[in-house]
Amino acid sequence: MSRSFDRRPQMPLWTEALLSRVLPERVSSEVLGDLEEELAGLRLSWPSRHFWCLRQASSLLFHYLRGKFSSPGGLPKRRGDSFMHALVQDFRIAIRKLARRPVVSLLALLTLALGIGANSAIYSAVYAVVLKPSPYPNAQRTLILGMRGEDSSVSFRECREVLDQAATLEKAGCYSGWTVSLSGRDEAVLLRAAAVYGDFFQVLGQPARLGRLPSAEELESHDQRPLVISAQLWRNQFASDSSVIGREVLLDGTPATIVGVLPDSFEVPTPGVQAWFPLRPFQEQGDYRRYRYLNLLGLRRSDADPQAVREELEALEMGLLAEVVESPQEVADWTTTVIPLSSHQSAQARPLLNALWAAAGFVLLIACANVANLQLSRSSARQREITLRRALGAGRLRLLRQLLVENILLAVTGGVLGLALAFFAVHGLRRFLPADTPRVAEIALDHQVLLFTLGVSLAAGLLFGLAPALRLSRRRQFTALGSGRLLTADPPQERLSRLLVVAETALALALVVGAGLMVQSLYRLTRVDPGFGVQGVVRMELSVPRNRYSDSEAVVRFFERAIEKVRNLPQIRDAGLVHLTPFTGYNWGSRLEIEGRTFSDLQEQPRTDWQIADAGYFRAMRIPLLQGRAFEPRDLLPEATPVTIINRTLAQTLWPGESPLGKRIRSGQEGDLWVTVVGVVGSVRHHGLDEPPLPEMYRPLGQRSLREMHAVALASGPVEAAIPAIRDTLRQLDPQVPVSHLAPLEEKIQGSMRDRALMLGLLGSFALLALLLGAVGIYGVLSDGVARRLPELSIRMALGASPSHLKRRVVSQGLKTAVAGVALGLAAALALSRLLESHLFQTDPHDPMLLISLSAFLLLVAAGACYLPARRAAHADPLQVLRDQ
Amino acid sequence: MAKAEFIGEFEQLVLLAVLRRGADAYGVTIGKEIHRQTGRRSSRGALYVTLERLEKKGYLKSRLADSSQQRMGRPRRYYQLCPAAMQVLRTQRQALLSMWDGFEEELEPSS
Repeated sequence: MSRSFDRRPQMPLWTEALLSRVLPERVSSEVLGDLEEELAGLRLSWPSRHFWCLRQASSLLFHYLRGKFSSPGGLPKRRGDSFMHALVQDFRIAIRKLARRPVVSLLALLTLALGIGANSAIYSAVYAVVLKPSPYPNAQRTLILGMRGEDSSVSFRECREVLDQAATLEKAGCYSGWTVSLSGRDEAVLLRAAAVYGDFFQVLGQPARLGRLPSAEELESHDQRPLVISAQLWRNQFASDSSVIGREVLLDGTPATIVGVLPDSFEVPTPGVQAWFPLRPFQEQGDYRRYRYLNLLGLRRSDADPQAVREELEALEMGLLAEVVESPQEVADWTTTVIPLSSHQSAQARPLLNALWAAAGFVLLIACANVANLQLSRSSARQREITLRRALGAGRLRLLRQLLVENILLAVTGGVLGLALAFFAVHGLRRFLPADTPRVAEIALDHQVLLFTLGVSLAAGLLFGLAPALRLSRRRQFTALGSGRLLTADPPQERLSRLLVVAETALALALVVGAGLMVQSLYRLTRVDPGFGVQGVVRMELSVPRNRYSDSEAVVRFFERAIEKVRNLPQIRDAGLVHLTPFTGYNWGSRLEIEGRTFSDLQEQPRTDWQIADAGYFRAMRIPLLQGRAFEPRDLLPEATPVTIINRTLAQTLWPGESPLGKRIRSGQEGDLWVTVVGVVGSVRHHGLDEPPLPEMYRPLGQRSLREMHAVALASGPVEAAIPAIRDTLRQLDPQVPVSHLAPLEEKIQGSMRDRALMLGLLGSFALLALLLGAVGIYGVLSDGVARRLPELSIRMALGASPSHLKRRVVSQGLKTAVAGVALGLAAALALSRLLESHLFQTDPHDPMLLISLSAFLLLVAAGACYLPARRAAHADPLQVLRDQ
Repeated sequence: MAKAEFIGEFEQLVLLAVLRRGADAYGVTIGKEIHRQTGRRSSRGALYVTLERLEKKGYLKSRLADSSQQRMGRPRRYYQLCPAAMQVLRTQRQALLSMWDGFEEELEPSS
């Protein structure tokens, strides 16, 4: 039967949906009808209608659901019997109990807040960086492909082969990190960019935030140059102007069109990339076939597993063997790697976060052990109450629940306080985590972290509450009701406390060792001589556009003029140019041939880093000239012989014990050109203080040139005054030449240490916290034990034991516990230090001296914690104590 | 039901409201009747649960009838007192009256 009504129902849909599900079928339709009828008569406004319905619905639900759960006889249940009511009662009792001992409760709360807060903060970082699902729609199937193991880059030839041939990949693309200059109407800026090729954007599947993303055809076509920019660049450089799409800009001096803006979450290849532009592959000839500068990225077919992809790539690589191989031995080292995008992105940050997470977990465990001990020390006082309640008929489960509710209340309150601490910690983490950590900006106290905190709090409540609660509720000794106290300590309880202290000490030692290793690493790192003067040096990057300086002579002339101007500034003592300053990235390496020497095996042929520099560079950087001469103006004359300066590392590799001056070498960078060694300079640590200096050769600017050079200037006064002067001078010279990264060189070096400093800071504070909590734990257990054993000790004294004997006895007892903890802790420390290994520098994680001295330190802290209770025992008046009994 | 049986106060109010409404006693009108006579707004859930309970105890009987457009086609459940209800109301009234006896002047609302 179908009916039509000319008026609309008044009842909100949710009310109808809710009630028709919950009310018994027999009554639901007439009840709903009554509601509808009354509503129609009331003529309420929209919000009050909802409110009215909410009130009616909750009344109905309350009565009908209560009816469902009540006993069938129609007799209402007694209030005190319902589970909820009992639970509420438990909470009331718990609050009263906790409030009655404010100091103990506060101590427990603070301990828990620190432990839980540390975990929430670290978890927020772990979640954002590692666990959170990747923002790219195809992330599940996106693979970063490497064909040579560690060095995963491929040549364009290899890339093309994979793009054309790989059947296990649905789509593939490649990219290469790049620096480009962007100029529109104003001054040029240098950008961190990526040159991309093939289906780079389609593999990831992330849509543009604005505009569109170019297809593979567009990227490969030579008629256009579509440019995609990051949301950050769009905001900062283009003021979030949506008309930016279609705008023409100059990219390294050649025109390009902005076609799309990518969202902030797009961080491929690395966080902080500001622009993506089409790759123009180098000509496929000569050595470029072996020039590996691309990274491959592919979308796995859903029916192919990663193993199949790997096997196919291996087969493809074997097919190219004849073209790309350099020596047969090399092939043995090649491994094809297939890494999911998400693990590739978080690979660097993961060890750091894992170590921190483990450390935070240890702190929480220590906190739990401490709180459990606090509970245990209270338990003799509670014993009377519990026994009484059991005697009056309370079931064991009921009592257990009551005790657990107390603990969980404590833990959850601790968790809420911990969240407040974590709120501040998260801000710190966002600021201080290394800038290349993926998704740093997304670290936040979101619902995931809240859930985690709740889970951790509940788990902590169970952990520290279960053992004492079980013990308390188990006892049936009604004797406890009779007299006041027992004469001696309570052995099983004390054993439990001691075990907890052993665990605490062990965890604290593991953390202290971790922090100790980091301190040692950082100390050794600061003692490393980088091989150049850091103080007062300013560095910058210059990039000469092709449209204004077409040939290499013009480029060299520009650089010479620029550096001359900088050098003549009153704020500057000296200045120079180099292809790549230390700590700014990886240089080109190439194989070397040495005149008069042949290598049967290509593997034995030495390799060197290849640089371009001028004479001023060595002066400004204070790199010492050890033998021969510096570059001179005569090297730049047209008929000059090609010369080179090599560093000490290269000299020692090539000609150990001989003078290298006058010898001739030939590098893969320059084809057939033999160059003569005219000088030897000190070695520079190029890739970080923790990496040994590599062999290097420098060619004079003028004999060779590049469009991108770094410049260094040694300030005569403060560097802050030198920087604006340099900027102004270069702007006057040519505003179209972008000058970037103008900053003190010291910043770069500190940057390379920051990672470790952060690790040290966090681990150090965790370790301190652990030490403090551990000491409090030892102190608490001992002083409690002493207090309980005071009668026994007094009898001993009355029988003639000397106070110093008693003191020794108490201290040795405490130390015995600590020694057991230290032994266990050494094992934990060895496990934890494995997580730290990649962050250590010249530090053996199993260094016996360090382990011994830190163990001794921990024992010293433990002895200190024992001393106070021992003194109290020794100074008690035996007669007084015994009389009190 | 000859035995003197007592019912709760709210149950009593509900039975009396049904009695007062006569042929027109269903959820909405019963609630309104109680409100009009006592000034007391009964909770909806309590009202329906009580009606159901009274029916189960044999004090009320009900029938479904006439749906209207105002109710979006849903039926009304009309209630009617059973003899047992009359009996229990009578007993209760008697009991209360005898308890009241002698206090009329003191407890009568002063006008």
